[in-house]
Amino acid sequence: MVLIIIPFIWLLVSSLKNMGQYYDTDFVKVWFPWPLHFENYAKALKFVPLFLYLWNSVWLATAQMLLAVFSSALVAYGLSRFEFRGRETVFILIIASIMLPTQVTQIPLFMFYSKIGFVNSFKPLIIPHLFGAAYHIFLIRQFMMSLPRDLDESAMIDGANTFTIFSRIILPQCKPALMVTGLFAFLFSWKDIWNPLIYLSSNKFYTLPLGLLFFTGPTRVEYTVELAAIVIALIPTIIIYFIGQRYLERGINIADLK
Amino acid sequence: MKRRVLLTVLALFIFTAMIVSAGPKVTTITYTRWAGTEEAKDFQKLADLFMSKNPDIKIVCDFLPWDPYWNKLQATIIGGSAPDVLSFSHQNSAQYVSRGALYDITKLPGAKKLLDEMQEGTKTPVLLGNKIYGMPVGAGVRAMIYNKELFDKAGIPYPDNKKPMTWDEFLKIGEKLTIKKDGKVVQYAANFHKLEMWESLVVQAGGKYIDYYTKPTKILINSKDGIAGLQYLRTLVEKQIIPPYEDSWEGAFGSPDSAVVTGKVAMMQAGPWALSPLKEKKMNFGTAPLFMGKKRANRGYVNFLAISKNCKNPKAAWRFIEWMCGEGQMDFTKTGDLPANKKYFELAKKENPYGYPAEIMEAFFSELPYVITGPMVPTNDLTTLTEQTVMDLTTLRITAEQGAKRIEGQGNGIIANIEY
Amino acid sequence: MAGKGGLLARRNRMGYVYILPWLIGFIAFQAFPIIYSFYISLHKWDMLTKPKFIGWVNYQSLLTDPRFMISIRNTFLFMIFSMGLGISLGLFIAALLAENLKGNRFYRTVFYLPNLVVPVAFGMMMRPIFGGLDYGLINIILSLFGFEGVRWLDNPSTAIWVVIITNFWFIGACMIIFLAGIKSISRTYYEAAEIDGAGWFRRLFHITIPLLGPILFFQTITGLIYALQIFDIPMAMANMGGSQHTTMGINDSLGTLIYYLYLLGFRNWNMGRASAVGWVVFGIGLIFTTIILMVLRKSWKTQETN
Repeated sequence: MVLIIIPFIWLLVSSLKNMGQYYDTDFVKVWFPWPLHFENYAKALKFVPLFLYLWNSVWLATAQMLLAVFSSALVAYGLSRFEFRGRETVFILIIASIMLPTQVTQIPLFMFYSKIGFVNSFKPLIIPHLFGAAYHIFLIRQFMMSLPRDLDESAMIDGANTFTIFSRIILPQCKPALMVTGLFAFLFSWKDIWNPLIYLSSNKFYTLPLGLLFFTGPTRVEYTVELAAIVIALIPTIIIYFIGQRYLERGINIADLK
Repeated sequence: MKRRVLLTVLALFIFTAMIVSAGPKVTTITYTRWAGTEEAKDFQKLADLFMSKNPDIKIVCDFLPWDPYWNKLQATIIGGSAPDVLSFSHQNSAQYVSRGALYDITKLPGAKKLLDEMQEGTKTPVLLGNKIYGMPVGAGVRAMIYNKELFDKAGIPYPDNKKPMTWDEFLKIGEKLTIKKDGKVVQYAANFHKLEMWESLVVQAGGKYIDYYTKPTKILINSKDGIAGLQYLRTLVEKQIIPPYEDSWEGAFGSPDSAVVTGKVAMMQAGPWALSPLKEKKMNFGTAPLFMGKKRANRGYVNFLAISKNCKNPKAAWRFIEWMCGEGQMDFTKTGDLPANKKYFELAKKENPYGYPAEIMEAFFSELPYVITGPMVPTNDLTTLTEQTVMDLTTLRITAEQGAKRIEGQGNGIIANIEY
Repeated sequence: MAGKGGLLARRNRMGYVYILPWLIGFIAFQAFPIIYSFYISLHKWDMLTKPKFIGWVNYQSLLTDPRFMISIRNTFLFMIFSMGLGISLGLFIAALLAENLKGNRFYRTVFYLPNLVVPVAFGMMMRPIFGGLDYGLINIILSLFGFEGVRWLDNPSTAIWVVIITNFWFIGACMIIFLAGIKSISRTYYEAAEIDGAGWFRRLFHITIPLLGPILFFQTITGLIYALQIFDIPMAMANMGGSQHTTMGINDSLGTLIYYLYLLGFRNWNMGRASAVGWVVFGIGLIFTTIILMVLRKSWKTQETN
């Protein structure tokens, strides 16, 4: 566990150094610098419109997350609770679509979006999430598979339709799965550089990871300010994680529902 | 129940439509270039200036740092939705020009005439046969930039800012400027862009890397002079005058463009674009021409502007380009490049619009005639080969002879397989 | 149940409605790129001019390509270690942290923290550990014991191990899925086992693991796919020395399959060959998945009928 923390300690500590201290190789100076330069954080915020990018990232990630989770849950429900022809095939197709490396489909996809006029906008970043994401569908389905059938059956006897079963019974049971999926969807969107890079055309709409790229280049050596920016970028994600954690803690007891 | 599901799906769609319509609006011409945050301000000012003189054109700029810029450029050109006005640096443009992936500007009004006004060496990257695919706008040249204080400390007189040093002279002061403490280097004499400098050294030694830059047929580096050039680079590493490859980019000694800023390197080879951090830090610096072997040679950059094939307003785009490469050249100099246009180059030499004293800019101006560009071929295999070889050379894993032989052997194979 | 013949069948058909979103999305956004990429793998295409049909040449050329071989070797090494050790470790840690003990919430956060960093940050944060000869943490520790520092990343033989080891930093992702799975297991099972006097380990092996079946399956498959497609970590490490190169570390020692694909496609403008690599990766993935499916199928079926 200590191993995990070490790079973070370095991150925090180094973000308070100036460049001279950054390059000191003396052990003590690397891990215990003095004096501390808190102005790095002010510089980071001024250098690039971090708050704007932060807002863009938050907004985009939330949208992607909500859409992806909901639509994926719908599809997963269909896959796990109904037995229709072709069910196995669909499932295999879904897994297969994760297996094909995205780099291979990136360019044809971009060309496709170009032809239908989706580029230079947020469309390619949001619309695909309307339709569920293979990874999330897979995960949620696995969770749903492990839920006992009697729940469905008792509800059906009571005359509930499929959607009610879905929203009132299955979905709440899946809270841990949904939380994890939501977290993943949010983070995936948050960390994504490539898609915002090629589909957004104006600096105003760039997201946080893109903004971080502006801190270094061949002539700039202000790594310490970049580190401060990275720390700032971490904060929202930690907050989201904390919120999600609380859902995880509750867990579900079947007995409660009865 | 079916209705409920469909309603939900519908709601999702409406929600999305609302988000999507809040997206960005379309504007007249888009312009993109690589630029750090400060450079971006200079380029934006340039665009603003053009807009004030041409109120019927609106320019929307997209500036990105160097690396992501090329990734995005590639994706958008391939995908068919690149910005209207594109910026290129010749070493990354060969593929696009040779495959005709840019808009052909030969027939645009004034294009041929404007190209004639450009420096000779800048024309090659934009031409494919008789067709013009871009317009040179600036030349990037590297000269020696040095930290005066470190020279003072070592008791070495400043290099002359007009006359280049010889290889031997450079070796001598190099050895004095690298300082070691307890066997570890704490200060290097210089930090060079090895992956670009090697060819300059080969040519300086009197040798040649390749027979022609466009449509080459033979690698010529495996000669006495070629090997001498490679060997000099290796010697600089062996004598610890320059850091070995592993330490020359993100370590304590910065990168070739930022080495002097760190305060731990006495000299670097960079262009005017690298001067502003030095000015910011109020460092006492000077410039000098690059050293010379039997002759002078210096790897530089030709920067040019092009129009994308999918551009819907080529005439408007062309007006912007025409201005930047013509009347606007003096304003263009504020961004740090030397003008590609002969007329304005002479003007710039006289008037020095750069914001640095004339004796600083002198070195850059004097290097321009000796600029070499490197091969312009539609494949990166050659670059991969030379990169790998120079990496091995400057980590002292292979000798200069082995390096030359490898480049010749594999290089000829690559050249033979290029399809034009 | 058999008596509800028509009703059940109609209800089952509702399944089609629920999967509709995915179906539409797949056909609209994924089918074309997937088919097109296979088509391209049979051509020579530099993305700027028309593709030229060359049949299976791209695939054949890979068989004699040393860079491809290095990539396969590295990728497989990575798969074995990251999957095998990674999943077991993730499960174990999740089980440990599943109880609502006092410090656990803190630990859970810490473990997951690395997964929150932006890729740019990752490269920078690895420097102080593996970095240069004198300031990398590992080298400093080694020097305390009298060993000389090693340039971990620049040494062709150690390079890929750095990637394997640093990948463990991300174990939090695996852990958190298991955690969610464990939380979904009804308490009653555990309570019954405790009454029977089962210790922690027995509960782990006899209740938790079997009931995590579907999740385990998920982790194995996704772990496999992740390992097979590992790319940004080696690239971040290879590019630590400045702007992007066209080689994958010294002597391609950091090469992995997808990294090679990326270079072939986007640096060498050889999309045909790159797509071929992509489909080879796909093929490997399919083969492994089929094997895993066949093995797990049995225990899966029995679980479903419970």
